[in-house]
Amino acid sequence: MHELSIVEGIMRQAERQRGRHRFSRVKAVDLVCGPHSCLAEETLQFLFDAVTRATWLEGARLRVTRLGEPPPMPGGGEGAPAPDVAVYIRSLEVE
Amino acid sequence: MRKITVMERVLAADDAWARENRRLLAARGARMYELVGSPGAGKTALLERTILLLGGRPRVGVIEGDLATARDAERIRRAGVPVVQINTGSGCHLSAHAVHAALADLLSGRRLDLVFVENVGNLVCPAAFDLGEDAKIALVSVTEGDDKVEKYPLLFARARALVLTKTALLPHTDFRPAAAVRAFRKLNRGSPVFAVDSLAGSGLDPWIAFVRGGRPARGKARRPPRRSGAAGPRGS
Ligand SMILES: Nc1nc2c(ncn2[C@@H]2O[C@H](COP(=O)(O)OP(=O)(O)OP(=O)(O)O)[C@@H](O)[C@H]2O)c(=O)[nH]1
Ligand SMILES: [Mg+2]
Repeated sequence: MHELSIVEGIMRQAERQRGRHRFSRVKAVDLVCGPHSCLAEETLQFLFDAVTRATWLEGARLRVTRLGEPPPMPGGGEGAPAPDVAVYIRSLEVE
Repeated sequence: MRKITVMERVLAADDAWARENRRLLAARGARMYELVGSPGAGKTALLERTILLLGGRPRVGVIEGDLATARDAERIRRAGVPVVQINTGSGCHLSAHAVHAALADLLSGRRLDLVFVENVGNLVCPAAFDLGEDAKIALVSVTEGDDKVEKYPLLFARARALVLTKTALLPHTDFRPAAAVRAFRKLNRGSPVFAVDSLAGSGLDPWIAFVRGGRPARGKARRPPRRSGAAGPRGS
């Protein structure tokens, strides 16, 4: 449902990471989400592919690990939403 | 190939905007309540009636979220308070960033005590996004079926109040308020439940007291309404 927002968030994060570490392509994105974040994986990949076509992010695979427990909240300061809805990027496989 | 550890929230940017909204509201001494419910649950109708009953105290402003049209904003304007409409296009929920722009607009040159945000009609997506609100308020109309609380648990787990709407229609439905409240209590122990009819104007006093009462009391339960108790819509 709100997968497009998540895709945009992944793209923003990938851009930031590229600014920090030098790499040219992303092979895979490892995502971690809690039991309530209601992410539809197929929709997510479909939208990601559509939005990143012909960009440097084209072809990256999204892998979602669904946790039974809420994911940890590194830096989850005041005002952060309850952890049960959070989606994290755990790591990027790049080259 | 190498692996870069990131461990950051995907929506970190949204969360930053939500924090910014909280900061702005705090600086202006205003609260923000977000109404979430299905299309047609009665969000705008509840706002219209609430504005009327509040009679200008606290000073209210409204942010309206819809995919298209400014119809709800027109209704709120007719009710006599400032309003900003956000059209999300295809977006199924408001974002903290869009709300920030609307909030800045609404608060510019104007003193408000309470901002209501009416999110896009949807029980799923708005539940997952923080807009910087003090409270998410969930609406369920009695024509939707009393299983909605159980079916869309995320919203109801996060809600700081539940409002059952259109209660004057109860005699024409199979909606069991007690079943809805029971399901709500399984997810949410502390938040109050209200049973109202915005058109008939019934059951609204406790709701208005809640709206006037400042910050919603966390973990302090108000008794859920009995089938005909606080609602009092039957025969009215
Ligand atoms: N009888 C009765 N009708 C209501 C009540 N609240 C809303 N309605 C009617 O239900 C319909 C939808 O109400 P709205 O207030 O527009 O609902 P909404 O949740 O704002 O809808 P969207 O913004 O489109 O998602 C309208 O025809 C209202 O008159 C209520 O408490 N009692
Ligand atoms: Mg509306």
